[in-house]
Amino acid sequence: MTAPPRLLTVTDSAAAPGEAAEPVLQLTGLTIGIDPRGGGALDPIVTGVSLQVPAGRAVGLVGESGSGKTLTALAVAGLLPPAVRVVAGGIELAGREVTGLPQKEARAHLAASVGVVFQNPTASLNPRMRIAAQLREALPAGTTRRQARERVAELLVAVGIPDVHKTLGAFPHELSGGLNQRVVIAMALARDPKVLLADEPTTALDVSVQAQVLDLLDELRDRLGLGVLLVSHDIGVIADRTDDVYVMSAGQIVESGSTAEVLREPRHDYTRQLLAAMPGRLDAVRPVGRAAGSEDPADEPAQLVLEDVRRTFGVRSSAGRAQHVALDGVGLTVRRGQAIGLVGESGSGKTTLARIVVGLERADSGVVSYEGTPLTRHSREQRRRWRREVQYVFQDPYSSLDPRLTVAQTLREPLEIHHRALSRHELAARIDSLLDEVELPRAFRDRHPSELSGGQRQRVGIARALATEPSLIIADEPVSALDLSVQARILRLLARLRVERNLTYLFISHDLAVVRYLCEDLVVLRQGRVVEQGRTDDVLHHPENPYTRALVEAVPGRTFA
Amino acid sequence: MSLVQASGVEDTTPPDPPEVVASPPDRRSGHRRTIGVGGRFGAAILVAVVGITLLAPLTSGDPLAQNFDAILQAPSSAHVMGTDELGRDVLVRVVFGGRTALAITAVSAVVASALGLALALLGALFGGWVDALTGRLADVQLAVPSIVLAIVVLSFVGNSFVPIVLVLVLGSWVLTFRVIRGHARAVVRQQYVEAARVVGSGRFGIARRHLVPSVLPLLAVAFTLNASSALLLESSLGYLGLGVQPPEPDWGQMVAAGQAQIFTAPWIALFPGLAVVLTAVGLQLLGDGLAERFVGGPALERGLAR
Amino acid sequence: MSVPPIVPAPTDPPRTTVARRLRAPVGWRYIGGRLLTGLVAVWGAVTLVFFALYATGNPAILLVPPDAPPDEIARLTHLLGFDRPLPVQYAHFLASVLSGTFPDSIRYGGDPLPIALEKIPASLALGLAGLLIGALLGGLVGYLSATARSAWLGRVPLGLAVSIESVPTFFVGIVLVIVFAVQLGWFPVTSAGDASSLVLPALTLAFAFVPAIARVFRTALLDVLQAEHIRTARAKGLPRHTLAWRHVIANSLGTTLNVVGIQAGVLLGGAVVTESVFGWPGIGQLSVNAVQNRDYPLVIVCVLVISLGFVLINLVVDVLAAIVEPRLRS
Repeated sequence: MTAPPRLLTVTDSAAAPGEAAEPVLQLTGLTIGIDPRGGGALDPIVTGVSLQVPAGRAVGLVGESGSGKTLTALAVAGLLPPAVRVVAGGIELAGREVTGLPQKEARAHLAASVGVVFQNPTASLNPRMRIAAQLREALPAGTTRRQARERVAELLVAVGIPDVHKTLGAFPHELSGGLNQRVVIAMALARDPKVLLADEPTTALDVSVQAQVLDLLDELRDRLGLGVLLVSHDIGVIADRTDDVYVMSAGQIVESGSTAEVLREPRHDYTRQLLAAMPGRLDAVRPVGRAAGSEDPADEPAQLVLEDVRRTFGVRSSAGRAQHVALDGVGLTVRRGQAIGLVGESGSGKTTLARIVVGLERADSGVVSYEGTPLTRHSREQRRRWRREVQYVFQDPYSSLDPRLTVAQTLREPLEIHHRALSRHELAARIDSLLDEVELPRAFRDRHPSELSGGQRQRVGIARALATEPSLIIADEPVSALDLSVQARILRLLARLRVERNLTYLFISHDLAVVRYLCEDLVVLRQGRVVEQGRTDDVLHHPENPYTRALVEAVPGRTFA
Repeated sequence: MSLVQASGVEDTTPPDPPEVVASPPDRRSGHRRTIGVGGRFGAAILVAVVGITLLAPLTSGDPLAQNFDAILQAPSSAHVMGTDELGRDVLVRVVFGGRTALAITAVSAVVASALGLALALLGALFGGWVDALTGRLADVQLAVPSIVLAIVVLSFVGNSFVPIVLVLVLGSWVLTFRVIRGHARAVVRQQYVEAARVVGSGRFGIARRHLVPSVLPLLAVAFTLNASSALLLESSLGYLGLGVQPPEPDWGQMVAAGQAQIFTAPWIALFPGLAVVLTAVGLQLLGDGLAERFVGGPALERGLAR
Repeated sequence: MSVPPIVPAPTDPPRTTVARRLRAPVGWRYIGGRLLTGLVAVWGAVTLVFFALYATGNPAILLVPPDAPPDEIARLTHLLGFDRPLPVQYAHFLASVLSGTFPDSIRYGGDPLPIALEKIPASLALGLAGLLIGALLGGLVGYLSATARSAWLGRVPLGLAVSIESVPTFFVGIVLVIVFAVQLGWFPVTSAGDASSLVLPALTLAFAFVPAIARVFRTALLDVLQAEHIRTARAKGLPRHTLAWRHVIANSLGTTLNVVGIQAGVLLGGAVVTESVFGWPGIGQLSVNAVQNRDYPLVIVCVLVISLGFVLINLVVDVLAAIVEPRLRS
């Protein structure tokens, strides 16, 4: 590798590991309140948060949604939303207390000493301005035009962007998410900050890109002696990338310490629950025999067969119309009782495949057969049977329930369609037993989705899929929108239902740990092609395809989980 | 559970924790329960205006009766809104003019909303080329300014009731269409509609169970929008002399006639104009009230911003 | 996974800046596409006129003075091809429109095309003045209502602007005339085409634009203010006015232009009405008069000129919107 280009002043505070460096960011008893009605009364949402970020070290702030971790980060950056304010406590940045400074001065100090990286890279950039212009305005005031031009290019080189000139002239929508995140990082570095705040910087990115971006953050931290505060819900990322960790729950820090120690020997109950909920640590529930991996499922009859399925979408871009090949000749066999995990990164075609199987999308060519007959040649009777037996669980627990209907009304829809003979009374009984099955109180019958949490909604979604008495369930990332602890419960529920109802699963996920928990078989999809398939454990331990290997290696937290 | 192998089977999964539903994503939470003071006030105005014009023949005189002993009289107790250059009572003419204007407006708004609704729902339910066709139809409609349409139709076909309604319908159905279509397309793309398809609901079932109930409140909003745009267009046509022809009274046309006397008798133009404004304000207040109630924001920007 | 490769620093700074400035801001392809759509719209208007004419029976009767002798009607009928089958008639009609030959104006005699064309400057002056005032006023009201901290500044101007929406344009004009011309006597009642007589018509037309612009601009601003990239821009510590102009206002213009463009047809109607109220010697008043005089050849020409103008307006709006909003180009 060439010597790192001379560009950003390398501070000598870059501490050797273990050596205690002075903190560049120190929060003491930070309390944040929200004023929901604008009346001046503040409800505290973050209370008494104290933490330290030493120069040259990465500090993790981990917690589930609503824990207050993002607000804490926003408070440090001076970017709290209008109704939210710092009520008490101190924020000391680069040796200077920020709270209590006049607004203008505080803003200047923040801009000079903190760089911020957000979750959604493309949305974080102004869609109307070219990258060069956005970088230029991030430079410190007083930079001349000529200096600016050089610095901007240097910054992009520093964040590892290959084609600097092209990128500078591009608009954000013309770049990939990974590239945009690099641009955002470059912007955060533009004023030589002491602290880098990264709020879920890789959550919106694919695993392989995620690893690259995190590598970049690590490298910059080392080289520039930055203090990095990494806010994340992902324990794997925290485990791999941080030296110290603070665990946050309900607005408070419940546990802190060196990352390795906290994760090895959690002291607080919440931390313990959080760790136990990691999909890699869940105990598998498997049908007898299958779990041992000894029996060959190949003698089971094929329930669903895909042969050479192709699907392309027309895409309009600045370059004119293009064809996006979502599925490029996929073949797949699902046998009764199997649980197949379908993994791949975004754009690999996994969702398209699932939608084709349930009839939400049509294949351009190729054959999809259910119970030996191609879908296109189904008789009325066969079609009805396929409709009843193949059901779908959606990813988004929010948009998958009609906000106008109660839980009972939502569950009544499939029942009325497939079990027309049911009386009112029988319908009500069915609905109750479905609620029992997904572990929801029967009283939830009359609730609207707005009165349910994400996990509860997803349970309703599962109950709806079960209502038709299906035998094959296609689930498209059913837990990816949920917090870790809720995710664990839903996964256990799915595992139990599989056993009780003797279901076949085609389970789509980007998360290898989730798939490993639920599925004995694994199919890896890349750019619309199956690149590898086999028993889950075999594939994960001895990946044959280089892509699969990269995918497996890129998963955060391997060392730990 | 004999099929189940050991660990974790007696699933002691506790119920979901009291997961804080942080900032409830309830789409209705921003909505008010009622149409509000403004909405009620608007409704009251409309009831009053419609009531008065409906009851006109029972109470008032003849809008065409000329009285050359009392021409161009200023408003007084005998003639609350004064008289015009032929001695006709302006109040009586405003009330009767309202019958024409409101009848044309109401018919046009009903037809236009029905057309807009039907095309929007068709497009959303069938998608594909049906959606493309209806969308294109709206584009074509927008590409022909309604004033051009009015000039062509009303000058060549004539300006009786049906052609005027035709012009108003063609000039305003796109409003309802856009509002409903934007919403309906969003609904159809929701996963709950896809879920309904997966559990076996047909188009009709989806329309009945999901689409129509969610569109109906919006239709009320769109209808008021449509009505006020039809009313303003109708009165403008009347003013330009393209609408209802004299001697039959009509608000817009009366303003135009009164403009000649604007120095000596401004009330002739003023009162019929105020009648239009009053009715339009009523419609707008009601529409905004309905929008606040059902959609969570002012009607116009919701519809047009899509 | 290894550290991402660091490419050597570029030896030359990007030199594309100058070249980029010389390039057309919006591709010709884009403009061409929009123009084509517009021409389709004009063709639609022409077809509309044709069928409206056809619906009257023998259009030739409409196109000659009422006292024309029967053989003149027969001559014209044959000349214009109205005795031919429908498709042939239509082709004839298109051909005559394309070549710019129209029957003589009934009212004024002679070719109606120059009569209509000579009204364009007056209409243009009124339209631009009205649009300028309306955009400034509407923009100001929209900006205040989206950003003002005080409830008064935020709500009252918007409330006023929005209530104008319930007032038909002709009545706005009449009220302005009664107040400023009749009562105060500041401006002439009808126009002589000079600057002082432009004030009231321009204001009237502006009021037709204000509510739409204010509302749409407000919504667009509120959307942009919530966008994540505004947070990024704030994190850069930009001065307040830079943030407001470069990131908030500039980003709101695209949507605003787009929506206002959609409503351009309504606004065009407002312009025709305004010209009639003040007797402004423009194309709008000419066409209304032509209808009243049953001067059908002139009506046809006016409709075509207005439609073409409308297409040009939309084209300008589209191009402007694409300049301020790069995503629209793709």
